[in-house]
Amino acid sequence: MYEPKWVFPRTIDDSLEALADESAHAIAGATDLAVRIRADHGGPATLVDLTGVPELARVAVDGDTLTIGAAATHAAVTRHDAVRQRVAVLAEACGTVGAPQVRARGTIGGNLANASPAADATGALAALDAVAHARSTRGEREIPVTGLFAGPGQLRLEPDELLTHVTLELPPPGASSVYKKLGQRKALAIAIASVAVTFDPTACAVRIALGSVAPTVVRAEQAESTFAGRWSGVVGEGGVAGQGCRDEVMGLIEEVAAQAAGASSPIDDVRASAEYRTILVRELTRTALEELCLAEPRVSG
Amino acid sequence: MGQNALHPSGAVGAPVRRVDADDKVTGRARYLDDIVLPGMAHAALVFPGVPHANVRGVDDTRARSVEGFVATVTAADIPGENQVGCVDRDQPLLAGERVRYSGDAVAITVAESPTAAREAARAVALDLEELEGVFDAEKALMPDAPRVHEGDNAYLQYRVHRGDVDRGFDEADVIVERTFRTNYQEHSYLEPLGALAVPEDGGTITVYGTMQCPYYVQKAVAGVLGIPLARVRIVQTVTGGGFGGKEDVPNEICACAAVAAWRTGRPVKLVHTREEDFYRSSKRHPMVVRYKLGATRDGRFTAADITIIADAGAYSTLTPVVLFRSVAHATGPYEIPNVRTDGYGVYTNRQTTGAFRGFGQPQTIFADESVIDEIADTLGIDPIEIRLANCLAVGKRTATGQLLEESVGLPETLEVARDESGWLAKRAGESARAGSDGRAEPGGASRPRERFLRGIGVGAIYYGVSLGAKGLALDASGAHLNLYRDGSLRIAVGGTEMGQGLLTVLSQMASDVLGIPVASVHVDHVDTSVVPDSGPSVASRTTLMTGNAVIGAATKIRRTLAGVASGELGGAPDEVRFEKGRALSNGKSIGIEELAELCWVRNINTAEEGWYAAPESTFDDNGQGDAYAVYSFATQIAEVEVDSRTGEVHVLRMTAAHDVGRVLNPVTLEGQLQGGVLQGVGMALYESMKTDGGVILTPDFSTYILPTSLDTPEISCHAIEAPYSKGPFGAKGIGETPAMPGAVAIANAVAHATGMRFTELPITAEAVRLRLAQEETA
Repeated sequence: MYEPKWVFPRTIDDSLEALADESAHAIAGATDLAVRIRADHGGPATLVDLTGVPELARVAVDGDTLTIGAAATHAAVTRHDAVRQRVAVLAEACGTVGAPQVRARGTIGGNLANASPAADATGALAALDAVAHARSTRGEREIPVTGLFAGPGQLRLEPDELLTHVTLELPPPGASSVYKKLGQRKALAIAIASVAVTFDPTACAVRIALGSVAPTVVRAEQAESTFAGRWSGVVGEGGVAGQGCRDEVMGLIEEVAAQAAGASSPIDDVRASAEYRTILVRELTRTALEELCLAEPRVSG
Repeated sequence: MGQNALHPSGAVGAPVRRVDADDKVTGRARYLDDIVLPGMAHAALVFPGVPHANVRGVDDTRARSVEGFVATVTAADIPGENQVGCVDRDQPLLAGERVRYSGDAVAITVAESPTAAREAARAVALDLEELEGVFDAEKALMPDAPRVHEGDNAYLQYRVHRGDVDRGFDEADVIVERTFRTNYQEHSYLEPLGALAVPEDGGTITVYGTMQCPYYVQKAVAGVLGIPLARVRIVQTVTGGGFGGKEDVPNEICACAAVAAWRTGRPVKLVHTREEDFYRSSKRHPMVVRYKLGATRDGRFTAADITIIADAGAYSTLTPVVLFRSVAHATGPYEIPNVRTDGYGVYTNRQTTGAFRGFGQPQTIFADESVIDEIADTLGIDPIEIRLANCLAVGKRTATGQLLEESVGLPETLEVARDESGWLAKRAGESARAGSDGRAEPGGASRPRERFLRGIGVGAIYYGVSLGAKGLALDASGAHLNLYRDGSLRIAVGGTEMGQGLLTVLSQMASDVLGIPVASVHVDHVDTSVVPDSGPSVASRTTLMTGNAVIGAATKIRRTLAGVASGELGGAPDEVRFEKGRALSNGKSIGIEELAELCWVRNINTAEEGWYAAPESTFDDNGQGDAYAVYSFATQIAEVEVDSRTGEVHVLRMTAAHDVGRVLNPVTLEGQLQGGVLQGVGMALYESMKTDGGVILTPDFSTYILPTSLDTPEISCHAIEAPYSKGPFGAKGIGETPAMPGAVAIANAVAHATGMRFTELPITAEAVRLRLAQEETA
């Protein structure tokens, strides 16, 4: 019978010490780990419960840097004013995880550490160029979120390393972002495909991250550079309002969306076929870009 | 709820609050797993891990070392007959010799905790000789297919043959023929299956369990223990949903717990996990339905030729009664003079299939209602008009040749649903897309596609209430009523409350007959030692059958009270009225509790038995006869919006119009309707149990997709009352019909929106989007 030893550290240092034990595993919301333990009829001998470490639950803005502790819940992130106003993609992504009960327990760190290609928050963080911070008794290092995964369930961290927080630079005023996900139903749904898109009109840049369509969350880099190379030429001085310009923008969006689909390498699974997923990447990207690029400029802040 | 549902006088027809609401909302209600007895042990089942195999040995050496291990029970430990087949005797309780599907239990382990019992079960080593299996009903029909049992896999056949089908098609101006496929649907009741068996003094046993059919369980337990029925008592615990899924399978669960309790001499509890429930519970039959319908130019149906292949799974269980219903109702609620329906039940090495709300009909309804829409489209006739022109009404005959003499509210359900949904305007909205010949082109697929496509579709159905000609021996129901000296009434019945509201409507009926408040009435869950075998609580029969039994017993008590009242007040006993807690006669009145006290003082009996048996029904070799005593009717209309980018189908609104005979309680009725409509939405768009050989790929609620509250449309409910003269207060059954017309109404709305007709359910976003992609390339 599975009867793990539970450890309840109060500080990050105590957590790291506990995690230095080979048989120990970090646990916070347990929304993935508990499911796995039940399916496997067992699990790690020692569970290090991070929910009592206040520093790990912090969501804070310092200048233009947003810091999210690994044990901050999806609900807390979704509620946070700066997140809602300046990185809507993250608020929306966290807001589509599971159901209210799951969002109240599940954490950003868990979403990353589970290393699922379908992880909603991970997609948004990848599109925001977020950086993960990992610590062990040996020191601290930074890894871009896009470089955190080796494959499904495979994290590029050492066993004794603890993901403590992620940081990201808040986009400038005028920038906007959106998360588009299709699941098998409207709630309690794992993504069949998702896209996280950010748009900075000043920099003529979009960033597009794709979920559930590759072994890890991936960025559609070719699509991003096509957009960057063509956007200012397509829009010109007068903005997107004119009809001729609108058609050109639509044409560019179609092309970028098709390239995003090309960046995916989906599989067939119990939720959907690869063929459908490829179509979805194109359609979700198109819808996201239409919403962001054809909208009247939003006032941020 | 539509306004004709309201009845201001008396408890019957009033929106009486559910009598079990407080217990359930506060968590006080005691479900099976809440019961803990001293000395109780826990059982788990040993599953084979393969779908088809000979069992050569069971070795529990490793299980014995699990801490808390108590016993292993194998087929050899069953004292009676190792047999729990519900209709056919083809199903061993424990698969001691041969495994026929992955949910077969080979042995039972007993331990001090559920976790230890499961750990022990996993530690039991099975020596299995794997056999080739068959996992598709059509393949199982091939001559060289592996045989699941001794005889042919196609072990069961029913037919309805009427008129001259060939001549009927000769008379037709238009003929549509299509093949439809539906998948398993899981009941997904909240409370998984469970039982607690308690060996008691005098060689008796009591089994508590969550179930619909305690008398089936009584027979199963007596059979496996080899003891008389009189020594077996079954007590139904508060039951968290059934939908048909707790009709037959509780026999197996309760019999397993009983055998384990008998073997160990201890109370033994067996409660399924959700995954175990997926593996072991019966489901809606996957069916292949080939459907051919002919009609004249003016929209009159001339002939139907229908073949139904039902996947029974590894054991027959309830397939004979389900298939009978499929075949009897396969034409839909229409008068068709020439009919040839052939239905086959086929064994496979898959999960067993049995009762599920609608009972074999939603699959054939998907076929008939789809084909009718295609015929209507071809002829340029409105889908509701063509249904009204052909539908059953008083004086018409069903496909089995039955003359309908009363209580046929079908035309009104079509009209009310049409009017309440705004059908004409919404359907005509599509005429903007009409072709140059003025004929409505569904969906306007030829035009540049809008992102969001709207459509409206209809489904109409009928349902023979109660068991009909294939269940006559079971079709009676009892009640025991005891009026106490303080005027309170306790009712014991043989029909089960499974969430549908039976306790409440029975309280209302007794309240009206005796003139006492609903609060003075208490109805117990079923105890088989109190009320005689009342058959199963299935097939929309319980309100009708048990209701009539309660009314019968209550009427006897009223007669007794009327005699005493007329003696006290004067006036004739026949003219005593019972209202608001008082008996009225001769211009004077007396309280019911005073009358009850007088009876007690004078040694007059105020406890009575009620018994109601169904009217005769018939079904000959050609499927002709009065198959059911009475039918319920319904129409549902679905409005959908299809996102052509993702393929998602959003159901915006469902309008449900149901002929229930008489509304007993508008609130519980609306609850029944809403729940059933949502199961129809699930069947249409989401629910799909995926399997690979014997493995279920979707054995839980994260992979088996049920609609959530966010996927729930607005549901507009309307009751039509075409009273049934033999029904309690005119009521007919309502259990099944809410889940029947919705799925095809949605499929028809999708066809209207997109111009694409789907012949398989569910119509997932993926299915829609890939079809659109095909059209784009074509």
